[in-house]
Amino acid sequence: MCLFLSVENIKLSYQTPTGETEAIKNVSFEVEEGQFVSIVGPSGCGKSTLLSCIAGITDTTSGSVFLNGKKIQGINENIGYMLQNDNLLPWRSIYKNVLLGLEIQRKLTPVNIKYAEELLKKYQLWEFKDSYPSALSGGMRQRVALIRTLAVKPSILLLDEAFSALDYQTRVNVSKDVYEILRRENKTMIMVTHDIPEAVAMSDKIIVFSNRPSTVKREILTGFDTDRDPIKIRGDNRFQKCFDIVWKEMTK
Amino acid sequence: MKNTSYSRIQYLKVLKRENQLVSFFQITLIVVILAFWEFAACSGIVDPFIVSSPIRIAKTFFSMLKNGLIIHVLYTVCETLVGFLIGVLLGLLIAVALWFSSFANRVFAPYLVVLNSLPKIALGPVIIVWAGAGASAIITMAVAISLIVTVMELSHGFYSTDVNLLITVKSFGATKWESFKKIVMPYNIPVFFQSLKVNIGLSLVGVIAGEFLVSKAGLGYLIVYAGQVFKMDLVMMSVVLLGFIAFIMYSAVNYLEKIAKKFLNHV
Repeated sequence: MCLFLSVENIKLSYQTPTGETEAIKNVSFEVEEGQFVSIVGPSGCGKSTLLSCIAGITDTTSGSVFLNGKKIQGINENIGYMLQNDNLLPWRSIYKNVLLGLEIQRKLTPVNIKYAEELLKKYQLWEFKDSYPSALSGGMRQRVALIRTLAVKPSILLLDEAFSALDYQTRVNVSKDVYEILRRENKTMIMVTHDIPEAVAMSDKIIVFSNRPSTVKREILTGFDTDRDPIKIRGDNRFQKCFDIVWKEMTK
Repeated sequence: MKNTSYSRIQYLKVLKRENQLVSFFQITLIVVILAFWEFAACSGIVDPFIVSSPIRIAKTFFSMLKNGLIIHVLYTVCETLVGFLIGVLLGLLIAVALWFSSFANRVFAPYLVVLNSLPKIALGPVIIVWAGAGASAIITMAVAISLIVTVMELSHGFYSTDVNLLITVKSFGATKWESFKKIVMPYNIPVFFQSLKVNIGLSLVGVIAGEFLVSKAGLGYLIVYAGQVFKMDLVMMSVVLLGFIAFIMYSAVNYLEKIAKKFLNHV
């Protein structure tokens, strides 16, 4: 693994007519290529805001994000971003939904379309390609949203509470699917979650944020194998130990 | 149909019966009203010279058919359609511009509220002086009545578009125009057609109000003329005809909505 993404001294203050709110005080961390990183912290601490900054959706007050040593500004095609809801367009078929990113980036080439089609086939969604999102279950919709993000071939994926709209059983299953898909496709992942077991099961590194204005309290390496099963690992002693460390750090 | 369960068959039966009952009562209601009206007029309970009667209205309709009724209907329909189209297109253009510039939206917001509350009929004399005493004044009145509602409804719809969908396309690098084309426009198709349905009625109101003020033909002209010479049969016939025209135009917009939804499924 080599250094891939580096977040350096990010600060962010919201300006409103009634005053200034400091959301992120000073955040720096590094992510290696292929690494799965989770950011956990108290509600409203600025985790999602930070992810939005890395995605280029929100401007920072100061600080920079570097990808492969190059400073990135605004939207970057190497970064895929997934939100809490699947955000599939209800008026488009699954197939057309998956091609949305390619259309916007004007990359609708036969090679890219074939890649998107292969992803649909590989992850058991091909037979639903002509269906509309309303005909699919929550878990399937989330998989479609992931494929839509993967279709534009980003090297790094940002997941912002991507499973929190799902019921518990679906959530655990979908997080396993997403984990396996991202590993197989050799992606790097930064995930924001408030679910500590999910963070521990899916991550190589967990970054614990403080209360707002957020700073990095601690970085914890889980030390699990990359070919683990994120459901089975929950029964492992190392999982429990790691969970305790993260829990203690969050409640300190 | 072989595998249809008993409860499904029962459900469909009840549903069909209920639909038939609704249609039955709809028709019965109008027949009873017409019959009572006719009876009241014939038996002298009410004065048919003042309130007319269904048969007198029908007779007037057939006699007017030979005396240029079609011309009057065509005038009103054409003026309504032209006013409607101008109102919709102009309203759509302004609403799109206000979505692209939130600054302009803030500047114009109070003016839109005031213009929306203003009774546009009060502008009648101004419109006649500015647009001339003819069809152009009538169409301008129709546009004046329908335009602001269109702008307000569409603009509200555009600004209420799901933010998460907009963030999703933005994360792919979409420009503001692409966000509009891919998200805002298809998201607001129901709002657009809702505004069309309101608009077609308002355009008709504008045209009739315009024809009351200045016209040489049209159903509004017929109503004013007939009212002045106490031909209440002609007034009532024109009102009934207006009801039919409004219904047909509304149905046409409904039909257009169905076609557009099919066509726009893949925006």
